[in-house]
Amino acid sequence: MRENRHPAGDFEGHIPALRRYARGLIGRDHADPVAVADDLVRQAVERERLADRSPWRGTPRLRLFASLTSLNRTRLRATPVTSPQPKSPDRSLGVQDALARTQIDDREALLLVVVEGFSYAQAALILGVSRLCVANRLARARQCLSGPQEAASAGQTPGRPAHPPYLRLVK
Amino acid sequence: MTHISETELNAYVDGETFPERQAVIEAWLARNHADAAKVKGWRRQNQMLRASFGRILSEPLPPSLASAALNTSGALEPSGGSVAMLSARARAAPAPGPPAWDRRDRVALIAAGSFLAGAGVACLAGFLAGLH
Repeated sequence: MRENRHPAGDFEGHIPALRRYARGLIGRDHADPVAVADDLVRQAVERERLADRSPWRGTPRLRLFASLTSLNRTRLRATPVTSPQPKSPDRSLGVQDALARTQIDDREALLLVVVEGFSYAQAALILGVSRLCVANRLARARQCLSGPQEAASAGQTPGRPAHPPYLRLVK
Repeated sequence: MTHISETELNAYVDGETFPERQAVIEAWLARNHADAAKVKGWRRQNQMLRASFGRILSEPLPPSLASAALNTSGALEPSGGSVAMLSARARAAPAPGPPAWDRRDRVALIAAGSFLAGAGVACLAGFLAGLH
C-alpha cells in the first residue's frame, strides 16, 4: 500500500544542512562543486518526496542524508575522481584539502558525526553499517586528517615526537 | 590500568562513551600524554571542520532548491499549469483523502475475504452432508 507523497515543505528545513554535507562529500573533486552538490541535494529531496514513508525507514532527516550518501556514491562510480588536490595556505581551506584526501567511506562518517552532529547510532543507520564500523571509519578519517596538521602543530607538544599516521587494529 | 583503545578515544571525543567509562578514560589521558595530545588534536580538527563548513548554512538557496521548484519537478507530478498554480493547488489541499490505491486495495481485500468465507461455509456444508 502506498502512502501519500510528501510535500516538499517536509524537507525544506533540512536543505541547508544537506547542502553542507554534499559540499563536504564532494570537496574539490569537480570543476563546479557547488552546482554538483546542489544537484545531489535536489535529487535526494525529490527521491524522498516520491518514496513511501513507512516509519521503519527512519525520520525524514535520516532518510534524506541516506539518499544523498547513496546518490553521491553512484556519482563517484560513474565518474571516478582523478583531479589533484590543490594546496592552500589558508587554514580553513587546509582542513578541507585534508578532508579531500580521506577515503569516501571515512569522510561520510566524519562529516555526519562531527559536522552534522549525528550520533554514532544515527550515522550507522544512514550509512547502513554497524555502530562499531562508524567508530572505525571515524578513527581512520581522523588519522588521515592528522597527518599534515600534526606536523604543523608539533611544537605544541614539546619533547614528544608527532605520531606517524598508522592504523591500529581494534579488538 | 587497562589500555584504552583508539576507538574508545574517538568515542570519548564524540561524547559517545558510557558515563562510567568517562572517569577511567580521563585518568588514562592524565597519564598518557601522547593519547592526550591526540585527543586534543582531534578536538581541534572538529572545531576547524565545523568552522570551515558552518558558513554554508547561511548561504541563500539557489533557485533550483527553492520550494516551488521542488514541488513541481517530480516525475509523477501532473503536467501542465504554471509553477504558481501548482504550488497554490498544493497549499489549498494540504491533507487530501486516501488515494485511489487505498480504496482499491480495500475493495479487493473485502472481495477476497467474502470469497474465502463462502468457500468455508460450502466446505462445512459438504462435510455435514457427508456425515448424515
